[in-house]
Amino acid sequence: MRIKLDSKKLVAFIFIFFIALGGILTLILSPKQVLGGFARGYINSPDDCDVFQKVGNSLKEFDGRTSEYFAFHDISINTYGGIQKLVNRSLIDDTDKSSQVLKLNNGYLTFKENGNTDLSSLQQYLTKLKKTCDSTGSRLMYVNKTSKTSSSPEVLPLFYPYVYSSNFNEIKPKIKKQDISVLDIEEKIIDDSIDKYSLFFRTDHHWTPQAGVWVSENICEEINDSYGWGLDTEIFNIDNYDIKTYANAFLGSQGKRVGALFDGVDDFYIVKPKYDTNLTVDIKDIGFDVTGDFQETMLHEESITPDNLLNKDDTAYDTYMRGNHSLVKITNHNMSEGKTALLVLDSYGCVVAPYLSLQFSQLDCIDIRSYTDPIEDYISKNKPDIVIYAISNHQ
Amino acid sequence: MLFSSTTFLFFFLPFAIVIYYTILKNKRKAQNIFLCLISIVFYAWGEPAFVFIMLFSILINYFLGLFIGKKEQTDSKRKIALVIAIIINISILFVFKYLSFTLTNISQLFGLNVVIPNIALPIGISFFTFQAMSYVIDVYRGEEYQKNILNVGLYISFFPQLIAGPIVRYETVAHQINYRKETLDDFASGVYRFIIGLGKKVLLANTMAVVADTFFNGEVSNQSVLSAWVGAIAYTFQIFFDFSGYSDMAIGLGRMFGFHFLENFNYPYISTSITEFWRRWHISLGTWFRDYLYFPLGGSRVKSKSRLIFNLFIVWLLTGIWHGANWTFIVWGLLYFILLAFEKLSGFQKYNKLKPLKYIYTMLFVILGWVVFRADSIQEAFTYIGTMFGSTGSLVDNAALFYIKENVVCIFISVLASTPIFRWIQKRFFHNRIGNVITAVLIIGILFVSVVYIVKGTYNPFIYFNF
Repeated sequence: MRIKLDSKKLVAFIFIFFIALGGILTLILSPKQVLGGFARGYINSPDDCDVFQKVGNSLKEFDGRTSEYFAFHDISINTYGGIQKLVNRSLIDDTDKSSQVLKLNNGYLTFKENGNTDLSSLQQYLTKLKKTCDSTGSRLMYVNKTSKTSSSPEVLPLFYPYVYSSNFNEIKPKIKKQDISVLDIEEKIIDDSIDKYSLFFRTDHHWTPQAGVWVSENICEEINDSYGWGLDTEIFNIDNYDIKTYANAFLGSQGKRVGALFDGVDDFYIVKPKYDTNLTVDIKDIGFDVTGDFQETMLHEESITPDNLLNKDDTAYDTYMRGNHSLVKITNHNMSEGKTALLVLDSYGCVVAPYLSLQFSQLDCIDIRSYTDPIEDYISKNKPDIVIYAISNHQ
Repeated sequence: MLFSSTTFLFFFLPFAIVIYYTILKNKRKAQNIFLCLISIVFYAWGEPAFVFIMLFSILINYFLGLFIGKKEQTDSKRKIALVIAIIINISILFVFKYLSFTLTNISQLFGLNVVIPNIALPIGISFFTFQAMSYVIDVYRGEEYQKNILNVGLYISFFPQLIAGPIVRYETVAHQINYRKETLDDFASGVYRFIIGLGKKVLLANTMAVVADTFFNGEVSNQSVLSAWVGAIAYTFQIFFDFSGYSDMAIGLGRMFGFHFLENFNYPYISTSITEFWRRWHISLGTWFRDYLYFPLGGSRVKSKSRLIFNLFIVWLLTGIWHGANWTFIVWGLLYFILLAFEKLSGFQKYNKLKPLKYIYTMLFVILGWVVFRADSIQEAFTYIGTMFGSTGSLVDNAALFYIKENVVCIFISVLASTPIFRWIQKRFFHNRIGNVITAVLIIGILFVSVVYIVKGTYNPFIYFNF
């Protein structure tokens, strides 16, 4: 039979070819990830689910993975970003409305923030933590981070209606009154006349490693001012570090949601001390326990994948401390007589802890999002000289 | 499973098409069994447990259809069987959709302490129950009944129209179930229609949904008059492109498998009366109520005006209730009852001189109707409408201007796509070889951009959970 081909039929053939190819390629390229979704959804269902709910969860997991591991996933994300740029959008939709990405006037990306955050619970928690610290003779310090939009209305797009604020300035004197030292990064930026955005990646909400060095310096300065410990802040002079640049090698959390065409790509930096280091890093989660210099213990440059910027399994940010882990213990053999510290952190801490550890004999890092035991118990057991609590969005 | 998902688009659909047109080619019985089975899988994908309710509905209606369809049965027996079928179908719908709502209201009205069961609503139950009723009613009225249960299963559960319509009347497809003819022209037209529907849903409806939800969910404090209007108009576009997009996809998919469903939307937002609006909006539901309820009640050809009003009241009360178990839907239905009764009794349709005013009147009430429809409660609806007319806040705020600025392209396309202008342009300028090529390129473009949005995972609400 001879088919008389017209444009409509041609479209039909392209359609069939495209959808079949998309499915087949997805299964060929990521068979385990896609088909494994069935098993994972079923196994990860809560125990109180009946068999139908478990099957439903399997199917949902499979659905999610067919998009995530879709053969043309990366080109789709990049094209999506390109279209958004073309139609001049600054607030980019997402499946989850809380993950909408906002492009600021200066080109920096951030998640949409909205509403007033009441930090009273943070104050109460610090009061509780202070009691524990007092019982072990530990000092307590609070580090208030900064966001890309706070105190910078000039960077918001025209008519942008959302305002984010917190009552940190109200509770700050109350925290200080309890003999808890406070490092307010926002204030430091103003005091030091620093361009706030130089601290951040453009496509990510995290600080750059250079900012990590700067924050470490300020933490140590604040400790010296508060407790007179005499930590050496000179080592944080950026001239004491080798900086290696991977050009166009990083798309951050926001960048991965909008693709490279929307706002370009970040450079990524390896910042390592020029001076001698001798550290042991113990990360129980992944069975990593290595002694060596900064490069060997703190850095994992394999995470930098410039050819795979939308990498689902890895991100360049994981280069430092091998990403987020519930507990990381860092021993600095060059400071064996130094102080010990516990740093309670979230993902921002990944680029701070490696540098901060260079001024302590022992720096333990607890990621509050995944560490399940009470932090108070850890403090009571390990009695660090100082607890540095660096969580802004305390729940 | 949603049409606008990678699972459907890249796994389910190519699998269905390839098997249907290769292994099962020219084997009608096997093709029907296959379509029925994959339709059940399609339904079970969303809510595996609820598939048994649909299977129960298929089973009951098949056996009652067998009984009703046999000519040797007496009329009275057939009538009794029909009544039983209707009662069972409505009971299924009532238990899963309205029981909790009814008990809650009885409990509140009489101050009783009734235990309210928490019954989850099976997706698309209103659609497949109405199709099931269409089957037994049409068989009673003389349509050929199906001897094979899988054919009844196929009619009720056929995946293109299963979860969001259109409500396909049995008489429309009775013959097609066994005697349809698939052609490449039809298939290609189906693909075109499917892609257009996909674009409407993914590119227009989902984008407008973000705007509508922002304002309806109160994400912006102290909304202005303009904000409230932007939210209401965004929802007006969202529901149209979502619903008509799904219908386009369903009609297109049906055509790919040789089925011809009737149209469900015909540019409702160009209507100059509410009567005309309902001739153009959700046509399959309107004709279902017209043929199975309004006409049997006597329709418009009744002796008294009061009877006409009563008939309209029943139809629009039930139309409201059909959309969901909430007072908002009932009020929405009754709003249309009042407007339609007014138009019928006043001879409104005859005034042709004031078309712009008639258009403004129609769209004003359609938009206000959608506000009631979208709201979670009557109180919320009236508060929102109050804001639209300046009860609180200022006239203009940044939120309104920001969302207009952000979505100006989508709003512009939505306005145009709500009118027949693209169809007119295509017929006027593209009805030649070059025009066809340009149209084809545009269609492919819509497909690729829609896929990009689907894979990206943009906001993709399912607004038929109440139906």
